[in-house]
Amino acid sequence: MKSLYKYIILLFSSAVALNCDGSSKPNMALLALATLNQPGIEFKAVVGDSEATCGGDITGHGDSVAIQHVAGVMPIGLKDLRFYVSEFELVDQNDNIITLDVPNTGVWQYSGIALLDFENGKGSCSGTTETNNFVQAAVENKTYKTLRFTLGVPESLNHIDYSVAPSPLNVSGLAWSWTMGYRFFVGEFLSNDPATVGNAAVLHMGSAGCSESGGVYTCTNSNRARIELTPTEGFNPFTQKVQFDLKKAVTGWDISTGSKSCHSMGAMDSGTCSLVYPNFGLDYSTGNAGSATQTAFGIISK
Amino acid sequence: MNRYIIFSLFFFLYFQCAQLGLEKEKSSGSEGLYLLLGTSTSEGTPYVWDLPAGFPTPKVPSDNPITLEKVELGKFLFYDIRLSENETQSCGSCHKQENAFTDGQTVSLGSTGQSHPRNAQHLSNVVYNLRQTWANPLLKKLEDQARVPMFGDNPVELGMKDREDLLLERLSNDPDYTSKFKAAFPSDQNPFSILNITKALSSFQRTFISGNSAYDRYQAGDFTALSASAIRGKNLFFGERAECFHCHGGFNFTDTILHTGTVFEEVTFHNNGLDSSRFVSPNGGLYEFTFQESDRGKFRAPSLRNVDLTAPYMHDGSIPDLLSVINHYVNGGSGDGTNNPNRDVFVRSFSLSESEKQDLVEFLKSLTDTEFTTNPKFQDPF
Repeated sequence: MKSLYKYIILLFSSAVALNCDGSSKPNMALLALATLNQPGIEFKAVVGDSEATCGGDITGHGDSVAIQHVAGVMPIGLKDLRFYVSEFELVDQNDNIITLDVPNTGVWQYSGIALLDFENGKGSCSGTTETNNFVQAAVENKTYKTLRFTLGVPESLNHIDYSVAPSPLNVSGLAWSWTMGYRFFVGEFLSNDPATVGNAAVLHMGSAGCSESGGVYTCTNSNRARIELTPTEGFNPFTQKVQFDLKKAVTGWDISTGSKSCHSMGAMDSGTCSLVYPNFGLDYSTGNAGSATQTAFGIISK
Repeated sequence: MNRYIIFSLFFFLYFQCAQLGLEKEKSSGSEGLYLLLGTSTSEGTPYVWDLPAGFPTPKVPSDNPITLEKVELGKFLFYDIRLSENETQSCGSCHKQENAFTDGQTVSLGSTGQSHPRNAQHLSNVVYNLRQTWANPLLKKLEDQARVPMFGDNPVELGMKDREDLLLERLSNDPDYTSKFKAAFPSDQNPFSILNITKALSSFQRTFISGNSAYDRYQAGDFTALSASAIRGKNLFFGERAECFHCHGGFNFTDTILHTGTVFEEVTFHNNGLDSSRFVSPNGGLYEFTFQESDRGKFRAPSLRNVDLTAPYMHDGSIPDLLSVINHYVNGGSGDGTNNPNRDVFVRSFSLSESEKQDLVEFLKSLTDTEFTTNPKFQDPF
């Protein structure tokens, strides 16, 4: 009976810390325990053949994508790589669509949204120390046909006040104060090549063309990529993970001649944005799904 | 029995969570979250407005009532270089009191040396602004605007993105701030927060009331306050030839005003016939938000209070002095701006003699309020 009470107390505090209160700081030990026990979807970030990490040169990226900045001829330093993912769905072998329960954790997840964070503030990275590559969610140990998710914060939460929002919607590096919204995706790196040192690539994606009336925001260009992954062998979240390739994400940009930046401000920076948006399956002029299939995300083995 | 207890517990938890979730969903904006986070409401010594004749009562956001303590804290924060990552700039670096809180630069420079695309705004009577900044229709409150220079990175201004902890640590380690934050936000368990910083900064800026210029004294019955030339200029300004008052009317010399008596909020942006080469990225004006070609080059008409102190002029600082501004309007615009289809209907060429132009300049100079630019209440406390 005594152990039962212990179990209940642990269960109770875990549930409170992990599921209910998005504003409280969780007990890290409990969080670690829960991460071990709770299933979810793991992510990995690479630049071609190399891991996307802070604190040193990223080199030897292979040459499968023929572009100057990450073709292996130019060492790069990561500056930032963070993005929000939400609206997860799995499709099982019987074509049933399962909407994933992504619980509030008080840290990386709130209201079905998770922040994936691959920068640790070291070296040329500009963000925070903490990192996250895991979306804790209720999934089964089996092979599904399809995984879908949205790269971004749903419109219902895109214009809340980030300075008082629960984590992870209160990170200033992802907030876009100018549009009273969020940057869904932040990816930045710079060239460490002696010939082009300092040339940078900056890709920020968020909803644009936003107006407000009576507290209701309307954005002309949603700029939310809907990522759909249907590998031929299927997807088992227990044995496979999602890989994001920064090299594929910025295919089309050449920073050997100068810096490139896209801040999602509509036609203001259409020349640069329109080159890389299709890598996310988006059409830059409308901010909706375009004619191209996304290439930045894929499924790999764990 | 055990199973029953666990089941009850699960049911209880689920119910509690669902309720909490519902509360979060229902709360529009931040009010609900304030409750969750235990953030305070209105406490402190209410600030009493000392308004010039003819000035309406300012409208203050209900979630940030203005108090003496917040104004005092805001004054220190406004001038504190610790608000920039490399401790080189404060809000006051680009908003200098002697320039009616602009900086005299064509465009401002951020703390890391990056050029801002815009000319720094003056802050005279900023409390009456219906919208902040030159062309952003979304930034209504000073609290929201304050986050742009602090955390924005395109361009970098104060450069505090991802450095909230550093900022709060710097401030909370200073015993002077401990008492000031506590006094400004007495019911907050931990008053050191980004939200409270923006609340205090906004409270201080709301006290920037300027209404004691020669023109104001003239209006109040002191007919010696304006020269004969300035009076002729005033008549041109408000007359049907120059027609300046259409965009620069009312007590604050602008056409978008907010106060407690405002029922209908009219938000206007104008294309004033500047050369269209100035409307390219990132200076598209309202177009940057609406993506409508007809909004390209539309900006907010700024208040002309203290205008003589705020040179150079326009969103890009492209016009150096008042006479050049008048020549721009007499010409119906500049460069290819004169035939821009978006050009405001009131920007059309008209004729003024050179002495009439000088009269207009004299009138504009009469809007300078030296009491405002030398008032110790607004001075750098460090």
